[in-house]
Amino acid sequence: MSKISFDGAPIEFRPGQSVAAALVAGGIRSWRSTRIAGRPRGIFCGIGVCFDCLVVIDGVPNQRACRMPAVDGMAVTTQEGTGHGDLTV
Amino acid sequence: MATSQSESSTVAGRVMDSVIDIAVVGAGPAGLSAAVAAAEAGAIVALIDAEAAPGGQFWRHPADNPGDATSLDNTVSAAEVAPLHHGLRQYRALRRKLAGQIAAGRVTYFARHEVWAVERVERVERLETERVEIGRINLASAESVSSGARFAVHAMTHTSAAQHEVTIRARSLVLATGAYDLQLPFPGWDLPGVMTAGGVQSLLKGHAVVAGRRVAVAGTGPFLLSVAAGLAKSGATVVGVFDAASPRGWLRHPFAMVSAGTKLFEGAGYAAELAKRRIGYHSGWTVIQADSADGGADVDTVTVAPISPDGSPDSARSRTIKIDVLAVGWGFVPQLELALALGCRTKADVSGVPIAVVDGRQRSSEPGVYIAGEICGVGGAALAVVEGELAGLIAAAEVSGDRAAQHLADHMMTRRLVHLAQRRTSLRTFANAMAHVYPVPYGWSNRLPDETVVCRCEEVTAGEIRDVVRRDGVSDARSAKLLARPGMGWCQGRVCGYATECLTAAEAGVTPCHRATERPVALPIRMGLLDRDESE
Amino acid sequence: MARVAVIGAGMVGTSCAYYLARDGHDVTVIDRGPVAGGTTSRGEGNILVSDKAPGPELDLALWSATLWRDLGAASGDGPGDDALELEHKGSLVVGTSPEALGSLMDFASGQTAAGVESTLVPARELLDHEPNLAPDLPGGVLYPGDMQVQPAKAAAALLRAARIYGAIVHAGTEVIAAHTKDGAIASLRCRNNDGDIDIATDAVVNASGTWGGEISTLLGAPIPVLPRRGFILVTEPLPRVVRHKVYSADYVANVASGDAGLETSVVVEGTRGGPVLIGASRERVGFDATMSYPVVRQLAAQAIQLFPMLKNVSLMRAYRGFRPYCPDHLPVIGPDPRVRGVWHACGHEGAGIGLAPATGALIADMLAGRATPVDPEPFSPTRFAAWADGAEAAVRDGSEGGDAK
Repeated sequence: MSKISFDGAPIEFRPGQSVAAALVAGGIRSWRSTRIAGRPRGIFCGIGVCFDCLVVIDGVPNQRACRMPAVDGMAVTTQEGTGHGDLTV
Repeated sequence: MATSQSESSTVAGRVMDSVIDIAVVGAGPAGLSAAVAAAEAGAIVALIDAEAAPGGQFWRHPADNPGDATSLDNTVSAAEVAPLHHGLRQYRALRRKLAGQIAAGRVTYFARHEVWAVERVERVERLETERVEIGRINLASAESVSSGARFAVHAMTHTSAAQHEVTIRARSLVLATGAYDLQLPFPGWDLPGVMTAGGVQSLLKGHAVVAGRRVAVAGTGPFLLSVAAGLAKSGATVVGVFDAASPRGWLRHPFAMVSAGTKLFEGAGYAAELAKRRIGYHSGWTVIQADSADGGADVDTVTVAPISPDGSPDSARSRTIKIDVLAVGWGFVPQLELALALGCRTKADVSGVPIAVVDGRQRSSEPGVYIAGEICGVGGAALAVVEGELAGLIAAAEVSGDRAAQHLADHMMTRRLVHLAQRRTSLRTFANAMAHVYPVPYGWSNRLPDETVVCRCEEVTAGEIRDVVRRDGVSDARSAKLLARPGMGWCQGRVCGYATECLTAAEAGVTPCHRATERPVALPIRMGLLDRDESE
Repeated sequence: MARVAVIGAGMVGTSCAYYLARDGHDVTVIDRGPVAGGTTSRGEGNILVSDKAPGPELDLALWSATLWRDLGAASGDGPGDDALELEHKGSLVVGTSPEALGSLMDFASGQTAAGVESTLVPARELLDHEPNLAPDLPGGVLYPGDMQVQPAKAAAALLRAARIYGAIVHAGTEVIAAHTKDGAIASLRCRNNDGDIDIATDAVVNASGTWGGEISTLLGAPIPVLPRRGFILVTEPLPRVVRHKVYSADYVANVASGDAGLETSVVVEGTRGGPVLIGASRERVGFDATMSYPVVRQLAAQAIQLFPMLKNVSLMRAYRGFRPYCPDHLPVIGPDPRVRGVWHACGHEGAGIGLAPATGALIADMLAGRATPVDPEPFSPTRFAAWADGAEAAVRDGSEGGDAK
């Protein structure tokens, strides 16, 4: 069975599914918090238009979960705000 | 040499060596049809599409061969999503033809490639005077037109680690970039679990994932029926379909009803499906708000109400229903970015939304740019296929010289063009009537509470937008954006642009004027990818 | 007090309206579009003294910077820093080569004599000021006096302040004709959705930016204002990774350049809203509004040279605007001798936001017959007296007519 991880927990998926599809099928509803009010967000438009489903994939932030094919072993983590908390300010 | 491209076979910053005849952007019903028609007419075609498989939103399919399938048995297959589709015979025929053209080297198919920019790379004033006409094609001018690239199409594909860019140089373009769901904000619309109807459909058709167990479907238009039927077939409990429009509206458009029978028939099929499964179809009802239960982050209930004769929801008769997903859609917004970047003229469609202007042969206002499908007027898949075929045939004739000209001069082909034109007219009549029958609810923006988030990206509320209207006297969405930031975020106003214009105009007491928003960067792209020498 | 019509509700027009209304004049602001809908909404909001060589423009810029601080001050009667989104961030100008740094230091010492504050930043201290800057740069100069506003908000705020002093605003209203009486301006014929209106006036201020040439012709006092195209890139929202306005020293040479064709040298800065702005390309291509992707790529590459971390940041939007410029690169500010009552306040090129308050204040001072803090003569429209005849057609079609090159 193919698996990605979400915040460390394994999520099974079927090849051909996007990261967003895998997360929704795995019962995950939100995977981002907005940068101003910290509102939870998950999949909204599902077709790459709205950028609500941004998430950190393999350490790279701001990737559209609905546009990224799930790949075995992929590490998906919740994105906080801009996703660039690691940058020096 | 033309081959089928998958996401893994591209390198960063590649410019295609050869100039192709026609770049078709979008492989939905219009683009697929255009690519096949153009290739059959002898043109060398690149078909560039954001999705994993051809089909667009209407015929969305999972990838044929996902790159890293570790257990192939488990792969999401086209066969399992087949029951969710309509018009599959036509889709399969187009796919077969596409495969043939790919094998013959006339079509290069770029799956999972999103176009972030298009540009004209050659000044082509001379084309205006040398433009060829179907029926009496001037071969000499067709020859001179076909020399050299006139357009560069910059497409991006990505893995989790990197983005890659491919630049395709073409003599002509067919833009078939489609549309996405029109959204109206309401309290709670940004809770996880509230999705666009198209998004719910894409999970089903593209990934075989049912978005929720208990789903309400709301908004307006026949598309809601298709989403509800798909959900029900796939095992979800659909708690109801709430369509703000009244089907009695059709009685005012009897001509349109007879002139495009299949589309209505398709709608009737969905309605029968819903009736069979005892799913309530509530026309004249609208969504008022979505809520999460105490302490929860996700949507748990939706409140719906019937619309009173004055257009406002009758909250005394409202119902609150337990759900885990709410699917909403209020029609469609054409994706005009690429057409606008090339300077193509637009106009307002019957519902006021900007669409690209085309002539009887799908030619835009700009030489060499052809437009088909939803971006020249939302009209459904059947119309898109017809427009795509026309665009493909005409584009091929105008760029490819004698071969395509002979093809078109053929007696059968002349009859084909006449047939396509007639069919387009009747389908367009039907589509226009649809827009009248399924309008967005009157006065919706006046009822929107101040604290509701309108711009999901920049988290701008209705109240903040109204404030700048009152304070600074502005009356249009662009001014509101400059002063209060709605539309300044990741999606660049694609989701909230329509609503912001309605809200701003209503507050200012003027008629909304939905201007086409230019987005020369049609998709966010990493800066590192731009940092390259194009002559390489 | 006089009736004054200000044509243009951009940064310069709203500044003129503010200072004139504060003086007690009956001010009417007319714009064919919404407030701040033109060039004002298509720039970064630069308030710079750092890029100007000693001379009349620097004198004007230094005064204007003082006025901006007044407008932003919590104690004053101006709109305040928050309403203007005014940031006293300063600029860090870096030399990208030892030679460039040398020229920059010479440039800065010349500015010091003219009253510009600056500090040399040696290579080892650059990262203390800008931690994300490329590590191998030879050094730079810090200009604490440079600032930034969000230009659309600032123009809207000044217009609100002007309205408090009684100014009237006609947005969506186009001036279609001017009527004179005995050689003096008498009224403007204007057209909007409701029909035509005549606005009787004693004076007209042409603050129509890039369209200043057209309006000046319509007023019977043509001046050469030409469009120069500029692009700005906007990244995804980020934490405050860029603290100052940061640009490379070659920018200074480009601003003063009269060459046609593309000149880019990048200016990078953060914003309160989150995105990083990357700007400062300039091309003279008339009103060609299409996006130039080679310019976009060049700006992106130059920004990455200064801030390598931007490589992994997404470009979210690009926009272009037309900077109005005059052949001698100085704005036109003051009364036009050809038609009494016609005043010009345009042609600021890329410096319109920064120079706006001084422009408005200068017009107000001159109209009131007060002494002015800077000499207005270098900005006078009279310098185009020799130019005027025969060049109007060139202005209308946006070509290079009248350019000094």
